[in-house]
Amino acid sequence: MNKARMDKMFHDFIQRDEEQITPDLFFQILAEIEREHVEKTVELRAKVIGGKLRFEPSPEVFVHENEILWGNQRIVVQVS
Amino acid sequence: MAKPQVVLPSNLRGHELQIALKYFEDAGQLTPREWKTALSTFDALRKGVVMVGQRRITFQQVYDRYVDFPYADSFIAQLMELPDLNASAETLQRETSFEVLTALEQQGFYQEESEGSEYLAAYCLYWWTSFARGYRFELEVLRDLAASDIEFIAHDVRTRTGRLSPYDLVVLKQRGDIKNTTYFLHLARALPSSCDFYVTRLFDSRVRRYLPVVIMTEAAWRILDGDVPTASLETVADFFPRPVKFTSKDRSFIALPYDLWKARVKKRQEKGVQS
Repeated sequence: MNKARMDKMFHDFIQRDEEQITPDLFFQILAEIEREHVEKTVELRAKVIGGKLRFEPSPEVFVHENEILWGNQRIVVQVS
Repeated sequence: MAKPQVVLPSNLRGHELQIALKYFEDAGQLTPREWKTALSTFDALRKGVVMVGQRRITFQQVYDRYVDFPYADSFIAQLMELPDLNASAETLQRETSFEVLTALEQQGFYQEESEGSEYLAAYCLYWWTSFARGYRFELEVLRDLAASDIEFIAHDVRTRTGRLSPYDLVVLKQRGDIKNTTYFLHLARALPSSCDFYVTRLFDSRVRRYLPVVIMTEAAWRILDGDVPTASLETVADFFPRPVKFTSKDRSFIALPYDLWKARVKKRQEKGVQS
């Protein structure tokens, strides 16, 4: 770390006026945040065998028969 | 104090850390995508760790113990004493920010020999600045509402417990939060939003200053007024400052200028609807 450079950067920041977030920029950032939540799409394939859904193995997410393990949640998909 | 060792969160990549520093160098140069990255990086840095001998504390704990605890209550108390926030609050904020940076250095949390400690300093300075700007804005709004004879109930900003309340004020039985611009954007990253309305501020290039705006849920807006045009997030700024509806995270919100919201609230309250 070059502390002298960091010190100058922090000092200039403290003395500078607040950044200007216009309505245009604000809503563009909101749009980016919105996109963040759908940036990763995981596609799963499944077949119905004997009336029961069976997921095909996926490298993205752990599946077992009709179950998806997502974080600490177990999602069970039933065919109605 | 022994030389602290800084361990940055393993999920943060080099370019994300660079963007966090770019925010300090010149936030005006950040693209919308870089803004999103900067916001998420400042959120993620809270899990950074400082190891001093056998002691292990997170960036968040450093901020709470060495920044929020010693400075926050006193900063708010001094703000509340200022007769004119516009005239003196900026100076108070700058003086306190320098004190925060110096204190971090004196405590050994920000030093040349400690690789990565610049990110701890950046983390603390970022959140302190958000805090200071946020409460300057909140006090401005609360003072303005009182001066405009709007009936409201506000939380107690003088204590940490009061500040951690789930909402800042109640107007027309609706729960509201007053959030400075970047704080609102952090809130937008989290799910779900819990208030009926948010007062935030946006920079108006025509008058070269920040102006307050209100973003409220569609249900909250319905009590105040009727239909408004709908826009996508990409086009909503074209409609503003007219009230405009947009959708975020599958929920509909109305954005409108604060003065217009205040006029609608006053009209309702004059008809006898209380807070």
